[in-house]
Amino acid sequence: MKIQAALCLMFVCFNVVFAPANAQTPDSNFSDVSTWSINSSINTKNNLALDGNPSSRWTTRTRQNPGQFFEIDFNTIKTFDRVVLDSARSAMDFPREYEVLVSQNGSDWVTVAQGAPDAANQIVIDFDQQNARFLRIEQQGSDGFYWWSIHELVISLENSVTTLEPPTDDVVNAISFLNQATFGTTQNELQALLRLDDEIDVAFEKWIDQQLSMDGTDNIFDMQLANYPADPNFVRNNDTFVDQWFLNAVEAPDQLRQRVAWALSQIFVVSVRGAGLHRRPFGVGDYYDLLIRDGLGSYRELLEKVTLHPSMGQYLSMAGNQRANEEGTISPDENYAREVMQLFSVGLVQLNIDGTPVTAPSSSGQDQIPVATYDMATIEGFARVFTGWNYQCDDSNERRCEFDRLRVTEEPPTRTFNQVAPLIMYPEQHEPGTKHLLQYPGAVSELPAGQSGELDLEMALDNIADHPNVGPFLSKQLIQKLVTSNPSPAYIERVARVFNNDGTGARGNLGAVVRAILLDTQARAAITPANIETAGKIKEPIMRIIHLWRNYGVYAGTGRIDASTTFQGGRFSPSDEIEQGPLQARSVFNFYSPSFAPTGEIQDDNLVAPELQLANEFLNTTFSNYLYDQIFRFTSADDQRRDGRAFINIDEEVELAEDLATDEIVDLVAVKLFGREDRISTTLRDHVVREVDLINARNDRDFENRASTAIFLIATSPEFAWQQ
Amino acid sequence: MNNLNKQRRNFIKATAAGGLSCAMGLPGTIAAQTLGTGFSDYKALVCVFLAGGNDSWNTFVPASNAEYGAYSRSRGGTNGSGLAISQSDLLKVDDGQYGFHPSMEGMRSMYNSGDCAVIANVGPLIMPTTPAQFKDASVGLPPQLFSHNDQQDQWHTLRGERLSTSSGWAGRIADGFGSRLGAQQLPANISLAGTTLFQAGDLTTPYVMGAGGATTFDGLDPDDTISRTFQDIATAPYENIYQRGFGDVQRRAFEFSDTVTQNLGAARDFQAFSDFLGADDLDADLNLGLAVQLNTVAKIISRQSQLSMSRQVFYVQLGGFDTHDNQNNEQPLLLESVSRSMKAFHDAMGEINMQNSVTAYTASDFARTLTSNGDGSDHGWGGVHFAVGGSVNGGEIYGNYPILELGGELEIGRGRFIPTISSDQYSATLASWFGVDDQNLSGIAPGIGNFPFAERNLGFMA
Repeated sequence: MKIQAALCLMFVCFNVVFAPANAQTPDSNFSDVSTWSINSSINTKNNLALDGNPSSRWTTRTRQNPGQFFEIDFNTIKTFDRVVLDSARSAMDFPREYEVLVSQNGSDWVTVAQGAPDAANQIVIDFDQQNARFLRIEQQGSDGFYWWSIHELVISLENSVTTLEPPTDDVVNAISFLNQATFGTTQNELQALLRLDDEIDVAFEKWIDQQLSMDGTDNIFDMQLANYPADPNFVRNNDTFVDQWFLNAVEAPDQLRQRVAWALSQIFVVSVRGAGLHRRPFGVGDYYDLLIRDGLGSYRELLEKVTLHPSMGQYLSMAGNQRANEEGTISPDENYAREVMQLFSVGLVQLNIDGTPVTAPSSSGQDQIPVATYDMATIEGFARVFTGWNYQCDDSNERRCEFDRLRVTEEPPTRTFNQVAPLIMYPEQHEPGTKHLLQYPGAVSELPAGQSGELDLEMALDNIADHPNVGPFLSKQLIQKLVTSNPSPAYIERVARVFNNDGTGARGNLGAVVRAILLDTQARAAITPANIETAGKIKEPIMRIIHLWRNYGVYAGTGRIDASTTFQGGRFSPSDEIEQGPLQARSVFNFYSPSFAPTGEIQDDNLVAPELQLANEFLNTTFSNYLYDQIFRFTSADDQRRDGRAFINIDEEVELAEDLATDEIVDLVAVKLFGREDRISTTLRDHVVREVDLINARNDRDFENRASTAIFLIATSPEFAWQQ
Repeated sequence: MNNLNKQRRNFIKATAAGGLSCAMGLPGTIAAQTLGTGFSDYKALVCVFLAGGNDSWNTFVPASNAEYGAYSRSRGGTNGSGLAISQSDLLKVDDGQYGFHPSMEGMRSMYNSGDCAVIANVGPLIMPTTPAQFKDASVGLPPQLFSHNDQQDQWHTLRGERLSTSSGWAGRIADGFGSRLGAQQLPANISLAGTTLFQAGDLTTPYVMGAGGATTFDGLDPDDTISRTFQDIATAPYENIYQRGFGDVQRRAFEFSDTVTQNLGAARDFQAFSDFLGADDLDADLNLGLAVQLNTVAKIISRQSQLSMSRQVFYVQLGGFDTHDNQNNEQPLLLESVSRSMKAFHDAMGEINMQNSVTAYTASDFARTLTSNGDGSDHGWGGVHFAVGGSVNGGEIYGNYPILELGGELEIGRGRFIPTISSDQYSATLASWFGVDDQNLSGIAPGIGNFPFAERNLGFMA
């Protein structure tokens, strides 16, 4: 028997259910409790409140006092509208006054419910549907004798806004959208997206709004390097950054930021494979965080922060760039001047707004060749602009050091500099003369002599950022990295126009550009026999792994994914094995070229397939072998080692294998890797089922083998390599 | 889209498949399809690409008193921010007229034994170009001079201003040889350093393997049904062009991996590489990647008769040459790696009596500026290269080594030099030795017709 009473407090109405002590604890909607992070005021035995066992409990071990709390980080966005606090057999340990709060980031909290029950051992708290990453129950009351205990805490979604199953086309569209906007569609993310609105187009808008409003989940904070620069000799293995990067890619809730930052890190390239940057995990992590924080903001601001970041200064040798000497034997360093134009902004050739090159006849008159965007004089002009900038000193109280002393040429470096503070101007090394910049209608393309280094930089970056090439140049590359290898000129033009003006008059609003890319008709068009030939793109190797991990509950004994034990190779995990890793390109030209076309029909048809540059005989073999290890050896079925090696959970597949339900295994793998059980082709399904059914079914090894074989054949297939 | 291209390709695919079934022990028909005359001998070309743009003015340096002074002045001397190599440290050749970088003893010894030729002032050119023509742009110039990827592409493709060309010159050689190659068990082009434009044919596709050799697919024993299933999945008739592209790579990887692995497993070890790679006094910062690649190349060459190979082009690469910074510390180690690796490779070819059949040569994005930017150099144009092998007419400098003077004859600012030999001529000389007929040379090096007839072959190959 239940007695239900409605209580209305100042903000919200909610129901409290009074139930006898032997009432059943209701079920949670969520099955991923083991991946949640829990914190509480006493911070011991937190998990006992979520273990599904009403006998065990979390308790304060002290009298109830205001400020006691129990807090959950779901490590992803959850949708819920009910919390049940069950104090079961500790009947008097119900909270005297409580408050339920939610947060997106763990620091800004919103109260969604509060109450002061008289007596209850099962408190059911309903509130408006919430999409949040953090949940906190806080004690507001006190009791002179009783502790506060939670035998079981249940979070659930009772009143789904969407009661009808969304149309198939919408679901397929949503799967495709999330594959473009995240590190791979998961069922949780898919359901959350579909729940945002009945109109799928509105749901997409809301999802993007939500993502744009989130703070970025960064790397540095979690690298626990916040004490820097207290330890100026801080040198750690670069894996410190890589481990955190993997964790964020798999589970950070700000997936759009993470995915766009990953794309930007392949345009504004900095790499630990050059310039001794592997010794600077802190600076490198901070550079990546910059792309996460500012990657959806203003292009002009991003360009300046990238330019002055010490990791970029080190990688492309702008830090320490000195003025010419009188003898003419020293000239300004042209490295950054060249690459900032060629790769980060305008590109080598003049573009129409739809990304096609402006051409002119070649010297022979036989060919039309593209018209160059700039010449040697422009590069020399920018090289002069970029003189005088150098690191901030970090081993004294003065930011400024002697210019020469700061060149970090010693190996290992005997001196340190601030790895995160922006480069600063050392005026005595700044070229005083005029500087010749990019020429285009309306440009300020000649800087007068005698300006400060700071003003020269501002004006020179304005000169770059306002060039008409930037819109089409960047838009095309972002489309290629997020949506499709061969966008139509019209698609590029639509996005470039948003780059030029986001609708409010602002230029270079990258958040608006990304929104335009994801919501464009070409991105959202349903795949049909008429357009399937060139739709989508190949997923990069590292995206395939993370997509798999996101859907197979990747975990590691140590709680963090240790790249150096998860991947083979030497100093640079994981790129030593799979030729990709965060900030690990072999040069500033990234892991692959945006114009790569393999010999064969792709080249014959004048198409490109950039990511296929990472699909050659060698890399496909090593990649297949990586997956073989991951899927046959490092799984929940064969979970002997407890180190930082990434394991995946294949229990559900093994269970189905025990039932000899091969078709259902394929269904399940299809849900995890393609978003829905019907998104796998019948050809692939038939091949997999036939092969799996050939395997013995006598013992546990056989069942595991069956499960792994199904996952392996699908994960190595051309179908999974394709992002549609 | 070019339909003709597609048809031709399909034809080649069909013949390639015939060659493979031969390799797999099934009845082969390739002999019946042979149209031209097959090769009776074996030759291999090895492209050693110095990625990033090697500062070749410090690699092979004017050492005579007359010319060293100009060099040293232009480079700002040997102190502080200067980039010059000390005159007394140079490893001198030609009665002290020139010298190799002090870390290139191996290269000097090959030069002195007549197995290494120096080719001076090579770079991409559309046609012979004078400083005046450069300044007023009255002749065509390679598009995007001084840009890494564009100039690498120029070296790889020799395409000049024909930017739609998407094949490399080694790829076109393989296309042209076609059935003359007979029942080779592997593609003529093999890269040990990733996919390159250099080896991409219009009709043929290179094989890419790891620096240390091929790897086999774990869990996919060719005798097990899963291997058949894996291949069936790779070759299924996908409706999407990228899926087909990916599947095609899977298929090729599977087809060749066992052949390569078995042959590498059966290949001999080379004393020259054991001595180099096994030495216990190696500098910890010395990059051994190039030696590892060349050791694998040597092993594959040693199996040429078992693999029925008659012509092979290998691509190996060493990166790190983009020395905008810290050049005086970084370049010596890179050059040591080049010199010792190429010497070990040449000695290894001696161990199997193949020196006359194998030629290794260097290529790079560009040379670098003579002037310093403080502690490094920036992107240049023409520079110095090396060809090494028993068939090289070595011990000589081919072409005109310029006077390294700022404001000098060919200098166009900051010590960048207009090349006097085009990469077309350099490549054509190698291609001719390799067996490309004169009438087919313009298909390999399309710009060759713009250079004097007598200079199409530079003469450094026997």
